[in-house]
Amino acid sequence: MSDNHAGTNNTGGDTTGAGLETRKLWDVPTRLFHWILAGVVCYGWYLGEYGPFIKTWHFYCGYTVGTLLVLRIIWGFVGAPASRFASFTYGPRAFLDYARHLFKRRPSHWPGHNPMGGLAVFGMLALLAVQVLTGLCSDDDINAGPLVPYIDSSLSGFLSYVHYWNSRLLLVVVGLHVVMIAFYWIWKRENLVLPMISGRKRVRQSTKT
Amino acid sequence: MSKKMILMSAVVAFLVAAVGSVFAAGHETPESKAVEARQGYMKLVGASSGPIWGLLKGETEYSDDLAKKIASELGALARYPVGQFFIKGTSKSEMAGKTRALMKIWEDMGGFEKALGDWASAATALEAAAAGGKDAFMAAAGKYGDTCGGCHKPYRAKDL
Repeated sequence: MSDNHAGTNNTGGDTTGAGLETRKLWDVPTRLFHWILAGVVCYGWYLGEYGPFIKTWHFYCGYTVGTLLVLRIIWGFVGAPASRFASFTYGPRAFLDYARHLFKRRPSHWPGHNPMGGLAVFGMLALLAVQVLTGLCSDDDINAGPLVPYIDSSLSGFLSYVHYWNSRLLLVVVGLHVVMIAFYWIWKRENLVLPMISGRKRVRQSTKT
Repeated sequence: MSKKMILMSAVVAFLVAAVGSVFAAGHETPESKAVEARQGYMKLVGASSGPIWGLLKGETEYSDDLAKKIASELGALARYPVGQFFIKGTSKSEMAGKTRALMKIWEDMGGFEKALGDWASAATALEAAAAGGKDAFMAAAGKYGDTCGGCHKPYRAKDL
């Protein structure tokens, strides 16, 4: 449990004074989680918005997302260093440092989630958890979530409302996520997509060997 | 203005407001009646449509009798002119907390009436379909469900 926590020793987004290495950063479960989640969330959103009025497959998407979230939370404690929550929980100083280097036109070579990226991970996990939980309690008069029979109908109405507006919020955060990937790609000339596929990323040398 | 005058005006204003709100809360108006009528209508439509959703989800077993029951109820409801209750002054903008009907209905009455008409046609089509056996009815039921969103997506708010 106490092996190398990537990222915890870093205070900034600069690469000066540090050697670089290409190494395995994202483990297989983290990568699988990421891409399956991305696919299922997109499909679930599409079905909710434009799908058939019988929402059975939208429900299946929700159950899948819920399961993935549970697995990811467990993985946040036992997974590879860069996947652990502790490795991307930063203090205020790290955020300031990160902001100072953000617009520099060079790759960050960050060995894991940077402060903003880490915050985005927590934000997306939290919003998705809200989305799944409110979905279980939602009712559109045709489809009712599995928890609807156990709760007050006015509460279910309210949670259906939250389910809808939280999905708008998710769209914004996911959009921001994609925009930042593009920003890194175009402005900072750092491809963050490939490492999420291959697992390997060019990063600052770990201080521990 | 003396202190006494100010106090008196405050008391009078409070009483007027209190009495006014009591009347406003319990008072039936043509608008409040119209909203209640169409909400009651919607409850009936919901009750009669429930078995259709059960059939489409595979939770309810099909029978000709059930199909005929659903079709006759929804056919009767579809022939009732519920549009008459969408009178002016009964949108969510004017009666917040009472109705989810968006102002867009009155801004685009033609589109709303068409969507309502599409639903009514799909509902009456269930009657013929119910005589044609399971496959015919299930197909008509699917089309019927597709028309709910015609009004509920563009013209209904997500909350009161």
